[in-house]
Amino acid sequence: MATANMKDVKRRIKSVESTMQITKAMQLVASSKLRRAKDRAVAAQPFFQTLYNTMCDISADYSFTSVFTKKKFLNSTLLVVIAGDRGLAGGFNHNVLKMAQEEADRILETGGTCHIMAIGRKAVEFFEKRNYDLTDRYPGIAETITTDDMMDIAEIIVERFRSRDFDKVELIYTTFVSAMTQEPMKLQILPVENLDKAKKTQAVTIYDPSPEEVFDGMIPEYIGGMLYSAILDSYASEQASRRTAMESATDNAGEMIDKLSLLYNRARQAQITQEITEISSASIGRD
Amino acid sequence: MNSFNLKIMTPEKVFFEGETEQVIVKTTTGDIGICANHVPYVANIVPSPLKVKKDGEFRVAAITTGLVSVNANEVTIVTPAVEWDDEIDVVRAQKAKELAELKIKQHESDKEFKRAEQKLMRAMNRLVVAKRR
Repeated sequence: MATANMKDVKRRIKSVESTMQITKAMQLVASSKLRRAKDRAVAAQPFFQTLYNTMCDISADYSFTSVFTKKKFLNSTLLVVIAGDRGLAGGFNHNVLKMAQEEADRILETGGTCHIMAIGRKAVEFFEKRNYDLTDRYPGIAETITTDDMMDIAEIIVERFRSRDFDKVELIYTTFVSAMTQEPMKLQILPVENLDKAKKTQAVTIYDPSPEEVFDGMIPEYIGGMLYSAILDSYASEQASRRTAMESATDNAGEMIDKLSLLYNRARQAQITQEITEISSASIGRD
Repeated sequence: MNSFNLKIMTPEKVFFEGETEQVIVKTTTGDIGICANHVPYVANIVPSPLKVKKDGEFRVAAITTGLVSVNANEVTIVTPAVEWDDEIDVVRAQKAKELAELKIKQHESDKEFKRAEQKLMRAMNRLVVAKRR
């Protein structure tokens, strides 16, 4: 009986060891991807900041109106949901998708309509399975996102906003707080709100052809920039979350191996003791 | 010749930064050349060749869309995509042009048509800039 047990334990140790190798490798891959994603997210900041400052300047300089700042009451919302392309990232996908679903339900309960644009394979799968109005799908773009992709999406949103498919656009994604914490969050991108109206520049600026047109012309870039940073932010969070999950999986595997080795050694020792007892009792019997 | 500081930014990186004598780009109201000590000015850029003059010589880049703003002898250009003439991927631009032309011919919806038109403009601009080199 002892030998059979030993074989089983040995097999289990082997299988846990190979699982540990995989989780360890995934952890390393995730941490190197995380570093790259963080660099890209930082590089995108000045672009967005410049656009934002100019928009603030325009709205401060003139008493202007734009279709993109007006509040309307159609009560129709587009939710842009950004999740990951792959699982095994702890609660990353679950948290953001849960928040998105709650938001969608809230909108529907108050009698509004809710369209959903899903970015990331997991988001697409989630909303396809459920009964929501999923209008656009972008699986698998986060890792290799280019500015062309981002402008494509931004132009679609702007075009549909202009033609009044919806009067509000909300972004739901995961933001990277620290390597240990990533939080799902909701951000309204259209109509444009919370522009800082404090005047930054002293000189009178010429807007060609007019402040309104310059402002409206900037909107696709502004939304594109926002989406781009959100997608990078979400991607960095995904990697951080996966790294943490895989780190604890690796730790757990290590603990399991320790316990199993103890069990194995005990079984081995028991077997040896038994063999010695058998031999010595046999020799005693012969004497 | 007087110079000013030009900064060109994309979401990926700072594309160009340095002292420049003149920059020429096309905006929604037409071509504009900016020299040193220009008045504060802001306009939207349309797909066009962007010319940057430095040490008396022009360097040309293909710019898609974006914003040019002049403030206190500092010119800032923000754009989703810009490439120097020797960096342009001609094969890709050619493909993008053909795809856009096909979409325009099919004319599935006004929205699709409009987007294809914009894509065609960008692709044509890249090809023109690359050819001029």
